[in-house]
Amino acid sequence: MAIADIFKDRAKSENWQLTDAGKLSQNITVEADVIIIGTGAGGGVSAEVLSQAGLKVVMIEEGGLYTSDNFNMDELDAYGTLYQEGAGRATKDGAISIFQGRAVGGTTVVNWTSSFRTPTPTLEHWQKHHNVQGFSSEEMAPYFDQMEKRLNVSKWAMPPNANNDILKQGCQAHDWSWAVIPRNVKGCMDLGYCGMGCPANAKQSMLVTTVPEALKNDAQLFYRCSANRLVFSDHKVDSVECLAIGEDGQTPTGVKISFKAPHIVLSGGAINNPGLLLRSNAPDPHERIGKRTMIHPVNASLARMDQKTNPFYGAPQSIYSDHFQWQTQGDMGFKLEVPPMQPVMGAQIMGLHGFKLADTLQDLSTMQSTIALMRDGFHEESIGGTVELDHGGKPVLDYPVTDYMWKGLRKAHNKMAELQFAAGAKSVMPLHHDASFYSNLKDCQQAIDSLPAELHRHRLLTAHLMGGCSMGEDAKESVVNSQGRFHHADNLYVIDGSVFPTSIGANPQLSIYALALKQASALVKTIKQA
Amino acid sequence: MDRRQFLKLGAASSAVLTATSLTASLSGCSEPMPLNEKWQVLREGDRTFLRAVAPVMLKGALPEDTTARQLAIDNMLAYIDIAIFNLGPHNTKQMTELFDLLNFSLSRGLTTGVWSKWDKADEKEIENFLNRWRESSLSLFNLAYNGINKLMCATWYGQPASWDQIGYPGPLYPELLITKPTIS
Repeated sequence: MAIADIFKDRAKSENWQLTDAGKLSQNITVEADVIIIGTGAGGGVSAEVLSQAGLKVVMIEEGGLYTSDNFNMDELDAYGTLYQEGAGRATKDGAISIFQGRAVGGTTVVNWTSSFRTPTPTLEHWQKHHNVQGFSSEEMAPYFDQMEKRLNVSKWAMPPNANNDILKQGCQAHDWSWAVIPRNVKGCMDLGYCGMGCPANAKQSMLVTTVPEALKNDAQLFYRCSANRLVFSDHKVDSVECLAIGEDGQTPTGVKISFKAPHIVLSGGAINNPGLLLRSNAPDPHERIGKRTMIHPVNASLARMDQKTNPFYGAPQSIYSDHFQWQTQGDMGFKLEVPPMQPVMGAQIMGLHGFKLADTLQDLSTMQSTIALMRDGFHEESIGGTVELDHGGKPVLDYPVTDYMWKGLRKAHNKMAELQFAAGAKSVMPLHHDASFYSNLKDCQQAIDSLPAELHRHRLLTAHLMGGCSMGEDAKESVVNSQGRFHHADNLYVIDGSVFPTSIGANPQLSIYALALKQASALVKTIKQA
Repeated sequence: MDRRQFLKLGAASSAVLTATSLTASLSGCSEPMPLNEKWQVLREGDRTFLRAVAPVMLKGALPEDTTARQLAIDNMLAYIDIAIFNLGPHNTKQMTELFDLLNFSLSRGLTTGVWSKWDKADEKEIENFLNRWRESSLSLFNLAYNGINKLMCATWYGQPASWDQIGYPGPLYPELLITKPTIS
């Protein structure tokens, strides 16, 4: 193996304190200055900041510890081990597939590296409509600067792969705006397997940046350790009760771990954070926990091209268009990007069987796929979904698709078809059970306009989970204040994407990093002053 | 069958969908979970169903050669077993209920239109069942179709044996980057 597994190597040479909770044979109690639940974008940055300030930090992670030696560009293996519910998580009615990480490093281990600052209109909307303070573009700029430097974010300097280049060509042909995507990579080999964990340690995920930094600063990491319940008393959280998970990643071993600290940070992400609060019967007088959960619903359009595209190779996302994002004429805004298409991902999104499936996939190496990410949460007919608990205490997201959103999805299909034909597509298929490949724009758009607006027939997915612990100054409308402090407990903070009051309107990782840097730095001050 | 008849049939099937799978569970027709090392989730009846449906779902994609085809399906079953287990207890239970429905003769017949046992069903019958669930106006059937479809697509196209046909040369720089192949 020519590429060193830097996590494993440093763990040994620096004596990191790593505990596989599944291997513990008896119940234990662990104390620290700060407990952080979750090691993704929010938890990772928080752990770095708090440990650098000299505080004793304990990180808790439900998923397993997988490092570059485990990342073998193998779809089946990666989806089964690195994603929530084995990549089979979906909304309550099963209609929208949810791709969310579950491992040390969280979703940052499997995301496609697109790194956007929170758009100014989004920040302004929060201030104006959700009573959020301290999040103007000017106030956020230094945090973005710092995180971009920390994670080596810069515009992708290599040529885009064909899949992305076709998005660019389609935009140019229509005179639609487009730009190059900034990515958080260092020494990227342009492989295309970001979604399966970076085998070259090039992606600057939390797994290779902030989590190691925290461990170097004497933080402790407990993985396969599932936060089951927060114990509340008198306006504070006393402890976090966790269940050890066995090697199979699913089955509790029966061992319980209790974590105690004066400050608790919740960074389990949208869906899981509200789930934990609901399971814990957290005070919620205005029933805000789990509300306004946003997902950037995604639909997709498939094009057969004349040339080789090899959409499974190369940086997955390097070009985007916000042409329909903010000037929307009252419609729902959306961002245009492309997805990587390795065989499993490519085959699963088709919704076809038999010869139709085989014939379509035979052309995989000449396919292009465009996706639209709908900007939800900015309109009275788009208030997001609600996280609730099933009978076993598992959080599920009930996400309704409104007429307003259907209209936006249809418009997105039309625009994607226009884009793909303009870039030279031979035929285009909007991903919907009632559609097929159309060889000209007119037939395609006619079909799009008559596709039934029905869940389970329209292929929908999401990889961006936001909200559910919305921030704001009004406790009647939100779960935490603008500093991330829970309205009904003084020592509980929520620091990650679950506090966003709307969707971001861009891939959210950098928005989470900057928010975490801001909130965790403020928390250090609060703790030191006390 | 016109759309109206189809809808009527759909409504009837939907009612039996819950009723018969419940009956199957209560009357002990539901096969108990596997208790051996090899299978975590899939019971014998489930495997029979999957073996029957895979060649139709993946018609034109699975190898023609009998031995290669058998190996491909064996691998699929092993991966489907792990994949369902990895979905977590909640989803595993739902999949098991779906399999109950598909394995209990009355509910199988009413909802899929396949009246013979799965290992006796012919290709045409199975194809009709897949089309019927995919095209159904009942979202529950669409959902079930999507679930089975995704499992089969994933576990076949995740196997290197499928890659030649679709022009996928496999991951880049394997000798440099692959530490331990997990699929052989």
